Amino acid sequence: MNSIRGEAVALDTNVCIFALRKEPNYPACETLFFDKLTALQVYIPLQIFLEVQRNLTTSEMRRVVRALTMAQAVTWDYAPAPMDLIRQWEQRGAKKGDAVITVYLEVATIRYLVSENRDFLKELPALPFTVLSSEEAVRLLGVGSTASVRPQQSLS
Amino acid sequence: MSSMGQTVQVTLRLSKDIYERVTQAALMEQQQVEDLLRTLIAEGLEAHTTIRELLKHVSEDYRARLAREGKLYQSSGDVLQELRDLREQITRELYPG
Repeated sequence: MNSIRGEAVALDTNVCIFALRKEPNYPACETLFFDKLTALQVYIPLQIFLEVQRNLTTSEMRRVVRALTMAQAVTWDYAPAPMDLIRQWEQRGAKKGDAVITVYLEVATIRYLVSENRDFLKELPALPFTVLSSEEAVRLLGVGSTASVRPQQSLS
Repeated sequence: MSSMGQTVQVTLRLSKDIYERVTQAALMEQQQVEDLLRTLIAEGLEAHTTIRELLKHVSEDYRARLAREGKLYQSSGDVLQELRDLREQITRELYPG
């Protein structure tokens, strides 16, 4: 797999929360969020924005948003996800919340989701994006185009 | 000697326009004007720091709050489950039916 430099990636809520918590089981979340943000093109859909916001105070959220604006690029997607597409993914077996995230990435043609939820739609075939752990994302940011990792989910 | 935790009293002169914006923001955020000014000054200083420094301060505040709420040492599995539940809750609110 090529480096994810130059690729827009979605950061799941758990990456942000584990980074801020300094969760010892997921140290790469902190590395990715605190040290690699300027190398990342970040895509934040409304759903993830709201999830992070519900976990933080107004002041904490304001500063996290400010940090995200210092990424190489950041796209805030405040449009609601189309309901018909959400239903399609639900019919394929996705929980509604995961279906919403999938639709956002599908519509915005985002090829990578960085998440520590290893079960994210694991049961579904033909996901339109690859799920990377933060550890894999950090590795892919630091390597050239010939290095590879085994992604949790593959591009269909 | 560390000055952490100590406070000093400051008299601040602001333009009427800025003061009105602050009072309006304090009203919206349901804070005292003094508290919001303290926050804004601290955040303004952080605007000159690196991302790591900025997020380090947020992390310290967040972890201190979690500690007060007895949630700092939740297992990562429990945190993930709470986030899954929150995802479904927000989805139900945004996309009912």
